[in-house]
Amino acid sequence: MVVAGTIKANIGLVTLVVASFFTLQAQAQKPALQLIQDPASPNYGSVRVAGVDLYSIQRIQSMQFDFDDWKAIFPVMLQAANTQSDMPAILGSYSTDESSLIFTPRFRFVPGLTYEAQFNFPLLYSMLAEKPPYPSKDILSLSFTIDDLTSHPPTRVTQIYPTSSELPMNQLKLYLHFSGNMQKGQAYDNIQLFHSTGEAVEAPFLEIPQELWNSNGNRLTVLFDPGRIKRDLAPNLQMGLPLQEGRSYRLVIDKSWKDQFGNSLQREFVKEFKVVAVDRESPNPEKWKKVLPKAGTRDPIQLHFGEALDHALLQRMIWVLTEKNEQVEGSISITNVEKTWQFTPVEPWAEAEFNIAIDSRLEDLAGNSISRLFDTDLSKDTVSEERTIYIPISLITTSSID
Amino acid sequence: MKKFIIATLMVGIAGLAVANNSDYTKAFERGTPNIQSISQIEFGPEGILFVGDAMTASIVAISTEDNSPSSVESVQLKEADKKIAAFLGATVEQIRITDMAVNPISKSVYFSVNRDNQSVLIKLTGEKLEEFTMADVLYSSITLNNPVSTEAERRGRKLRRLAITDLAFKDDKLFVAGLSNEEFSSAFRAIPFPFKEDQSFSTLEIFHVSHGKYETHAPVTAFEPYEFEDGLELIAGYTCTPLVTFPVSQMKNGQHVKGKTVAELGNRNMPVEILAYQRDGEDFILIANSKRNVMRVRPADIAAQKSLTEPLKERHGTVGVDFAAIAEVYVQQMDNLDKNNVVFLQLMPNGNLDLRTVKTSRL
Repeated sequence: MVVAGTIKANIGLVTLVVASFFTLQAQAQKPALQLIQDPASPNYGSVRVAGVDLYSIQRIQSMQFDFDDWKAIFPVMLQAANTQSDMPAILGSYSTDESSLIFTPRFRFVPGLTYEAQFNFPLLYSMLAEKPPYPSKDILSLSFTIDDLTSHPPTRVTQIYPTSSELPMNQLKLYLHFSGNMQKGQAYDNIQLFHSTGEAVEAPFLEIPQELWNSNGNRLTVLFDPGRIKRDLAPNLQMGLPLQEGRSYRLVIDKSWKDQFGNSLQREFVKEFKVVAVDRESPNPEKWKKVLPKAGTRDPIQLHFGEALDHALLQRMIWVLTEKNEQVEGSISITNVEKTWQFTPVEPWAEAEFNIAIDSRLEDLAGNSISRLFDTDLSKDTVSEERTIYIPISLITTSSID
Repeated sequence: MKKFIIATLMVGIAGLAVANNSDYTKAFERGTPNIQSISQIEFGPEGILFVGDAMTASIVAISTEDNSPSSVESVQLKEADKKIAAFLGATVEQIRITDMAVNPISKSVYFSVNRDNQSVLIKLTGEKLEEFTMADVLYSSITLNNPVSTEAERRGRKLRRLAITDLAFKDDKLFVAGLSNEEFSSAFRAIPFPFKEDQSFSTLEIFHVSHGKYETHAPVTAFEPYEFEDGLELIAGYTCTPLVTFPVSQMKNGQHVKGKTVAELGNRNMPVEILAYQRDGEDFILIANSKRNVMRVRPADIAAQKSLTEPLKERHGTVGVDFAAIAEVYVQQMDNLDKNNVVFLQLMPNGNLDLRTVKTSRL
């Protein structure tokens, strides 16, 4: 879509201002600045100087201008109202076609912001060392505001893990899942923890500038301040654990958190939970209850832990191997408030021996892994090496419960 | 981050006008590395920039070919965040500066910046901003995931992220501290450079003992390798406030290394950068913090400090090595410019984020 002149198009307010310092002489072909708004492109569009004669285009191509030359002739900037003085021109690439000079921004134009493009006609011809096709000392300028043409469903919090309404006093991690990609750098302003009385809990979380997002940008890991959880460290001694046994809490995810399109969350999300005793025991696979499927079926293998384990780690720290040590293809689901892991194979189970493999770095809610406790009391506990633990199983045609 | 010792070494090497065929870049290939989310950057020798990518959990060494020596003694950019944002066509809310590193040869300042969940490297020379494009460059890379998980990932599981919290290059080794978004780990890596194919490197779990009683592991947020009389040690700051030293000589693959806790620098705070600098011929360690003043510590005091055994009960108190609280706050990034100057990216009292140069004689 091409917009030029003083057209008020449905895509937003676009105005062209010709700053004329001298009387314009009537000419058939004069260049004009245009915004080409294309929401489908990654850049949301481009800006062009249209109506440039072919000879000038050829001369420009032969000059091989660099970015500095281009931005002197044809800068595109955030409008001064958005910034202060001496702000740099926007990074982007310049190109030509048979009648236009084209600026494509390196990153998309941001909906709602106002930009200004300028075309310095006299400077161009002075740099080309050519007589302009018509005498003019005009500097063209185009101010434009980008409207967001695409509609994005509002993003919401889809789940917070652990899903249990009872958490141990030394709970270490929370995983916040969103329906879309969120903006980064706002997390700690939008996550609040309150006592059931309504009073805010002081500094419960570790505020990591990097923010621990997953690759898709839709899951954030939040750590309770480990300095307060670890026994005998100064924050632990001075402030105590962030969560206190027997008390109830409300975790509130604020609606004002912005998604990647700058929209607020659809609604506030609240998780209420009660705090139970500290957990200072490592998960012990020997105590897990196994429910094994019959060979020939696609029924799942189930492991019941008897306690909730870390939701994210459960997705990748337990897998099933064949006798030949090949991983069985299938899907994992975590159920029963993260107390149960189940694995459904793609193909029916063969009547054979298998191994359930467990990475000993698998953690419970308090960050105790199979191989070691979150903090180890040197006078009592032992630490074992990280390893893979194998539970051999034998699948037969009649169901068995271990 | 930053390293004055490397900086001085660099100036020496730059004088030799090393081209692309040095031992460091011999195995580099020309191409476009797969870099998706830069958490940390760090200069090594010969204008080589180490880029830590959280998304692919890898380090890419790029030859910037930005090797013209400069003796500039001051760099500055007022409202650095606003200018970088405007350069990227956005406002400060839409960008994040994830790290900053000074090229010790050219004195250009490099910023890793995130916009729209894409990473870009911005280079500042004088007051001119430009993009350092990571396309068609000489580079070499190494992945940080250990064999257990790479095996699992090859079998179709999604890649894990590793937010790289700090990088340092010293004695032909790249030291990497990282923070997983899933397991709570203190995995620390010492990788020989140049990187080799299928290279094995040390991954170690580092621990500190609180007051002789509880042993615990935690991610390191910032560290600096420093040559003490007894050998090279890492001075590391944690998410949970202690300052700990680790002897590099004990870092063998898979080992469980115990550090010496030398200070607790106050709660609700996290060291964000640590560097070494010289003033009047004496070495100092400088620690920038998330919520406290920049602190200055004498390496000799660290060496002399016995591991802390007495718990600290007073709120906001500190214990261990003596430190001087310098009248500089909210330094978000810092690096050595040369042996007499340090560069701060700092939130100023007027609310601006400025890039400024501070003489070491003032620190």
